[in-house]
Amino acid sequence: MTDATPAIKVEGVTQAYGEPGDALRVIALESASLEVARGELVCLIGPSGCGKSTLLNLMGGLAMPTSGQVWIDGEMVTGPLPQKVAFVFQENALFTWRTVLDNLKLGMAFQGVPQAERESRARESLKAVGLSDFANHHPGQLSGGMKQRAQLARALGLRTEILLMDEPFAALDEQTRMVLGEDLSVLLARTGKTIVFVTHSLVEAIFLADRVAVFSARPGHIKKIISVKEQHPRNRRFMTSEKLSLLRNELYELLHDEIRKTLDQPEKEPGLPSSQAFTVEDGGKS
Amino acid sequence: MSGSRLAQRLVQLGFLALVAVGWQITAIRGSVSPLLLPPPAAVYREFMSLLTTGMFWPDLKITLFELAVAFSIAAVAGSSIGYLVSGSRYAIRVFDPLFAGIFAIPAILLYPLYVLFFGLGPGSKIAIGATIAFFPIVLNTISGLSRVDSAYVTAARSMGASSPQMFWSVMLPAAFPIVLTGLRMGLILAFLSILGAETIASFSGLGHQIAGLAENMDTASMFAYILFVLVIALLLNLAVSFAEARGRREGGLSAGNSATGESAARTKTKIKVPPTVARIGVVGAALVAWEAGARLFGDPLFISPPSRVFAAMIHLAGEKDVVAAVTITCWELIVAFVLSLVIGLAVGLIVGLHRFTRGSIYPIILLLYAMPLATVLPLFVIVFGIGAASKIAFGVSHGVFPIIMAVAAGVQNIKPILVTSARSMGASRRQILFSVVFPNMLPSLFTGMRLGMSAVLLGVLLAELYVSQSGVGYLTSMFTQTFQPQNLFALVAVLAAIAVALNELCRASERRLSRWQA
Repeated sequence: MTDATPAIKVEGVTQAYGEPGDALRVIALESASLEVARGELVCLIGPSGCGKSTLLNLMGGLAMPTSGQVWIDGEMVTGPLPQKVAFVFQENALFTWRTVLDNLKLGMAFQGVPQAERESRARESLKAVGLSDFANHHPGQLSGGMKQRAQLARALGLRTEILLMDEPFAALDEQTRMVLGEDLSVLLARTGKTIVFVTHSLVEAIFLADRVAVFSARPGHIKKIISVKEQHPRNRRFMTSEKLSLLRNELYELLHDEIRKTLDQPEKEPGLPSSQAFTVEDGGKS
Repeated sequence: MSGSRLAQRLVQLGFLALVAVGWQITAIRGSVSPLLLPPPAAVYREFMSLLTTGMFWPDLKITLFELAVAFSIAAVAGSSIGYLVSGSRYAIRVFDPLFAGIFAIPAILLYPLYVLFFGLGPGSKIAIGATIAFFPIVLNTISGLSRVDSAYVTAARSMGASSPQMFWSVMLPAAFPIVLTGLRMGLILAFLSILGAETIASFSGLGHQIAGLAENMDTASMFAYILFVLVIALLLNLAVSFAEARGRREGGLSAGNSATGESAARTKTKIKVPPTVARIGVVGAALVAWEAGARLFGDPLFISPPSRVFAAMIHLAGEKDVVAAVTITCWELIVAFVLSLVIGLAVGLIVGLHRFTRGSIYPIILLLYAMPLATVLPLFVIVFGIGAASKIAFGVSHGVFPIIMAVAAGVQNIKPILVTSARSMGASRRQILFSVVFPNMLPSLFTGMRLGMSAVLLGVLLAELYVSQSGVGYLTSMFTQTFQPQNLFALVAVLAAIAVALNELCRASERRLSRWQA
């Protein structure tokens, strides 16, 4: 495996829910192809229900595509890859009954990190996101922004090469997410991780991404890819630059019609199939 | 999907068929005496003859009449007191925990007292039914009216709603679903407690009929009557669910979750006394009124002032018989509770974790739970004798259901994202089960344990009251029959204290566990 191997390669991936011929069949994603280079940050943006989150779940092996293939580091994906890929979700996925520190340690236990290393690694990641003082708090005692930082810390603690972030800041107010975006850019410059980031925010996408993949309305496919040629870490100056405004306007033009189309569709976001609820038979493997 | 649903129905039918066939075979082979277990065919014959001759009519009429009167009293008293209390946030803080606390006491304990006051006729049964039904109704009326989403109130106020308009067009419809649930619980509880009271001590009614048949060892007729009561209970449940669904649709609104209760309180009085103190004051005032009433007007054969009850309590604490009875009851409680917990956990996990068992077995469990258990109490005595075994078994039959349901719900109510996220971090099936699913279930399990504990208490005491030669229930019957009200009151007070203490213990551990739930 050389550096030329893309960190993530998606080829002709289609994801449909429901049986073929079923009236309720929904095609969430249609023949999407994308390559993400090492150390690159790619944002996925598009109207609701266009398959952005679906694509992210396929990349991480949380779901299997109806057709097409996904490769991570040149290896075909057949299931979750905890050694290589870590997730940050929009919804609060912290285990509420454990302290922040124990949440990080549990994630490492799942991944298979030796017991002796967990504590120091967990503290290190908490420090990286500025939550050292809240190690012994329970998630319920944290603000929304802190919860998302704790989730990020949990993902960082797994020390994976790839980070998949599913609208991690969507539930936060705009001011908080701008600051967290700056922090993420700094972190990226320091760690050189490969990141795929789903967002609804035009500004967030341009501010964070090396490239922005624009999705069409359902059935979703990648309509265009915009390159943002700007060094990380990025800061306020880039946020207020004319370059960002121009790119934002370009993005808006691309998305406007797609969003109109979406508004005329019935509201239905298939997301992961309902079998995600835990039962013994599928053991959460679905 | 439809294939697996068919399979689930088959399992259910198979289960019922297995029970029926197994029953018939045991009965025919005579491995169990037909006195204990009549063949189903005989029960069916009896049941049909009951239906055709209309023999059950007089008893059914009595039971339903008692139910109607008891429920009307409870509904009127509960909703109007609930309305008054919900008017002020302060009153809510004083009375809501008080009612909730009293609700946790198994009211069937008071039945000997009621028999003392109202005799063995319909009066005592109506009184016990009304008492028990009052609490869910008043609690849900308070909770419904005080937790109307403040957005509704604010919106109505901004549009210029007057006070009556606010009540009739906003508060009442918004609170309706919760109040309705209270009424449903009240009706079912009244039915169950009336049946229970009829079984324990009464001259008439369906419960009395079953107990009488059990005493005469006429088990085929007894089973037929039990079957009949089950059908009535089922119909009642269906009718109530139907009425509730209709009411909900017409009420239209569901109460908001962002319940603050603040804007809903109608009066804004500034009172300095902390609610806890005021609550103690209310209880104290009731005691004083009781003392005065009992001394001035009471017949000492029927009622005892608190001071004499207290003296009797101290006196009883030195009596060997009483101490022995309390010890026996406590042992029965502990054994029954532990058994309930073990069985409830096992069944709850089996039902909650497997989609197939959830679809097939869970409905059967729910059906069993809806059964008026008091009517099968004579059956327990026939099978397990009048010793500790029947009391423990009856306690378990009450205690397992809340635990099964809480465990199953706790396992199912996990946020899917938690499982997904654990999977993404490489958690194995075992790790997901032990580190994610079980801890997530714990608070629900504790709620189930608390409900199970009061249910076990109810079951054990019912069995002791019905027929027993030892234990607290037996003593209370004895004190009633020998007209020693001070002793009876003292014993009831001690039991009530035990019930409240157990309830508070469970509540405290619940709170400790759910500290992190924000």
